Amino acid sequence: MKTEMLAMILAGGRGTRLLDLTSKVAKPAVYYGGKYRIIDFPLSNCANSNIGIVGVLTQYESILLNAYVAQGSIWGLNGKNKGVFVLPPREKNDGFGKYRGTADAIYQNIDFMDIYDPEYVLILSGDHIYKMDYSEMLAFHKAQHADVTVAGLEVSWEEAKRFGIMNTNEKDEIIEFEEKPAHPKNNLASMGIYIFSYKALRKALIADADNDKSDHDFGKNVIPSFLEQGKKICAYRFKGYWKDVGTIDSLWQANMDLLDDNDVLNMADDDWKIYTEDIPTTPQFIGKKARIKRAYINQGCVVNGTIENSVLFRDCRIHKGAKIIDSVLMPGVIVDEGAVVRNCIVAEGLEIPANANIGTKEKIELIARKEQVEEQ
Amino acid sequence: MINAIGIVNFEDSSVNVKGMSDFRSIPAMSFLGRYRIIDFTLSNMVNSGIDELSVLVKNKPRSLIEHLGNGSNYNINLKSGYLNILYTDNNTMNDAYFHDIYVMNANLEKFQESKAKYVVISSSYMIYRINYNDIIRAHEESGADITCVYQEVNNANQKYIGCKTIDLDKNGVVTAIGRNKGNKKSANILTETYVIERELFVDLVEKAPVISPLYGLIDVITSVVDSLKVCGYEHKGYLACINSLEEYYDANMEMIDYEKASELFDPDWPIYTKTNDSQPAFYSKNAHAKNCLIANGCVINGDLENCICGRGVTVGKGAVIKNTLLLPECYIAPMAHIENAIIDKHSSVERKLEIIGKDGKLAYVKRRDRV
Repeated sequence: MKTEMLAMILAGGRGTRLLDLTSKVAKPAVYYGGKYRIIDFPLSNCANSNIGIVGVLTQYESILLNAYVAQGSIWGLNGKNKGVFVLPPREKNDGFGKYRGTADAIYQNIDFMDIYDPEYVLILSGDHIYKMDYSEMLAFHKAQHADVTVAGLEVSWEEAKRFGIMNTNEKDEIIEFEEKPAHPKNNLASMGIYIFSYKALRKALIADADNDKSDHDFGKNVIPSFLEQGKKICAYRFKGYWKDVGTIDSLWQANMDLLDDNDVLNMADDDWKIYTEDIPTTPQFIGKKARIKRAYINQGCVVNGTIENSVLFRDCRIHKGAKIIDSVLMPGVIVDEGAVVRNCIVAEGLEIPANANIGTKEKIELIARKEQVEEQ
Repeated sequence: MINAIGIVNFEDSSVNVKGMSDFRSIPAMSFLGRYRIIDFTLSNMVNSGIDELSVLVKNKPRSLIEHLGNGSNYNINLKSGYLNILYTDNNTMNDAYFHDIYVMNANLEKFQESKAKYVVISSSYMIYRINYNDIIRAHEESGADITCVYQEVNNANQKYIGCKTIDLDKNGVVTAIGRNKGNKKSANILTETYVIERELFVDLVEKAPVISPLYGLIDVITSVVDSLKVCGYEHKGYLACINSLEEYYDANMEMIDYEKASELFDPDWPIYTKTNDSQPAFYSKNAHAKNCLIANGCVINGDLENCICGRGVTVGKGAVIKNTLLLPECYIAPMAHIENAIIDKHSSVERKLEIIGKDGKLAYVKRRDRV
C-alpha cells in the first residue's frame, strides 16, 4: 500500500522535570490548556494536515498513553487507510529491545513504515504545543528537492544557547548544526520536526544502528551524518506559537499564555481545531456568588468562588469564598470553602480543604500529593 | 444484557414550540446549550443496555440526522447494534394521517426481524432520567401486556397542558387515558413511554389502520385499555415536558440551579451528545457572570446574569444580558442589552442593540437572523 507521507511521533519522553506529573504517565500525556493532553496537538495537526497514518512510539510509563492514542477516532484518524498505531519496543529473536535514542526508535520500526511504503516520513515530537500545517512543510520539502527538511523557529539570541541551532546559507540550506552553542551564530532553533525522503532515511538509520559510537539521536547523529555526506538539508521557517514544556514553570506559563489577549494559539479557530477525548460532562455551572476574570474554564465545573487568571479542567468544584488566582487546576480538583490557591498547578482529583492557603506569591508550585495539602 | 429494542417516537400535533419548530423537530432542539433534547432519551436507552435503537422522524429531519450521525457518539456498538432513522414519505392526503403508526407501519420489517423480546418506546419531548430495566422488571412482575410510565404531579393546572393523563385503579392498572386540560391541580401525566412485548407491538401497529387510519400510537393504546392489561409505572423525580416555547424556556432556565440540575444529572448515568471539539469557555478581564450555565467554546466579554450560553456563543464587551437563553453559535455585539429572550442558533444581535421581552412575554430572535 503506497502512502505519500506518514508521521512518526516520538512519545517516549520521560519529562523528569515535570516532577510528580510524570511519575506515572509519559510527558506527551500530561494535561494542558483546560481540556487537552500535550499529544493532542501533534495528532490534531496530523489530522488537519491530512496525514492518515500516524505511528506513536512510546516507552516510558506508556500504559495510559498507549490506551489514549489507540482511540484514533478522537482525532478523526480512523477509517480506511487511516489509523494511529501504538509502537512500543518489542521482543525480537535476539531478545527484548528498548529504544536507545530517537533515531533507534524509528530504526526499530522500519518494518512498520515498510508496510505503508511512504515517499516521505514526518518525524515529530509528542511533547510540543503548537499548530502547524505539515502539508505546507511537505510542499516546501518537495520544491527544494531536499533530502531532509528541518522545521526551525527564530528564538531570541539568549534562548538560542538552550537549543539545537541551525546555521544556514542564504537559500536556507543548513550548513552547520550546533547543539546548545555558547556563542550562537544564528538564532534559528530546530523544533525537532523533520521531513525525510524515506529512502534516504531508511539507509541512514540502518547505517546508524550499526555504529557503536552513535547515540542514535536525530539531532546529534543522523542530521550531522547527512551533512557530512553532502546531502541537501533545508530549514523550513515556522512562524507562530511553539512551546516545549519541560518544567513546571514552563507548563504553568504555557497555560497562562492562553489567557493572553492576543490569543497566541487561536484555540477558537474552527478551521484548525485541536481534538481531544470527549468525556460526557454537563456545561459549567456559574453560581450566584461567583466572580470570574480572565479564565479558561472547561465543562463540568461548578464555580461558586472567585477565579482570576486561571485555567480549570473539567469537573472542578470551587466552593463559596474560595479563591483561585494565577493557577491551573487539573480535572476534578475540589477547592473547599474559603481556601485560597495561588501560583499553583494542582494535579488531577486533589481536594483542597476549607480555609487552606496553598501557594505563595514568590514561585510556581506543583501540588500533586495529599501531604502537600494537609501540611497547610 | 437487556432483551429489548428502543424506539424514539416523534411528537404529535399537541406539541408546538412556536418559532423554533419552524427550523427543526423537537428532539433536535438544543437543551442547556450543549445537548439536544433527544440525547436524554437515547442516553437512558444506552445506559439501560439497549444497543438497537430506532428514531422515528417526520418533518425537517436534517438537523436531527446530522446530530445523530451513525450513533457512535452514543456509545453504541455499531457492529452488534445500530442507530436507525425510520422515515417514510408522506403519501397521505392529509397530515392528520401522517402519524407515528403510519411511519411505524412503513418500517414494520425492522421490528418484525428483530429477535428481542420487548420494545421500549419513548416520547421525544419529555426529559427525565429512567432505567428501562426497572420498567421491564415491573412489567414482568405485574404480568401486564403494556406498561406505561407516568408521573403524579400537583401543578397540572399550570404545566403539562395538553399532555396525556391516565386513571389507575388500586392495583396500578390503567382504567382510562385522557388529556390534561389544565382544570385540575393533580394528575397522572403519561410520559408516553411504554414497554410492550415485541410481537404484540407488531400486531397492534399492523392492525391499527384497519380500525382507523387516523389512529396514532396513543389512540391504539387508548383503544386497548379495556381489552388488554395496561399497567402504570410511576416515575419520581425530575420531569420536564417541552411542549411549548414557554415550557422550553422554563425547562432550560431552571437547570441553572445546580441543586435542581443534580436531580437530572448523575455522574453514573452519562448524557451522551455529539462533541463539537470546542475549546474551554474563555472569560476576559471584562467578564461578569452570575448564576449562569455556560458551554464550551464561549467567549465572554460582557455581563451575564441568569443566562444559558450555548456552545460557541460570543458576548461582546459591555453587553448586558439577563434571563436569556443564548443558543449555540450566536453573537452578541458590544453594548447590547438583552433581557427575557431566546436568541436562536447562529443569529447575531448587532444592529438593534436592545431586545427585551416584556409583560411576561419572551422576545425571540430567529435562527440565522441578524438584528
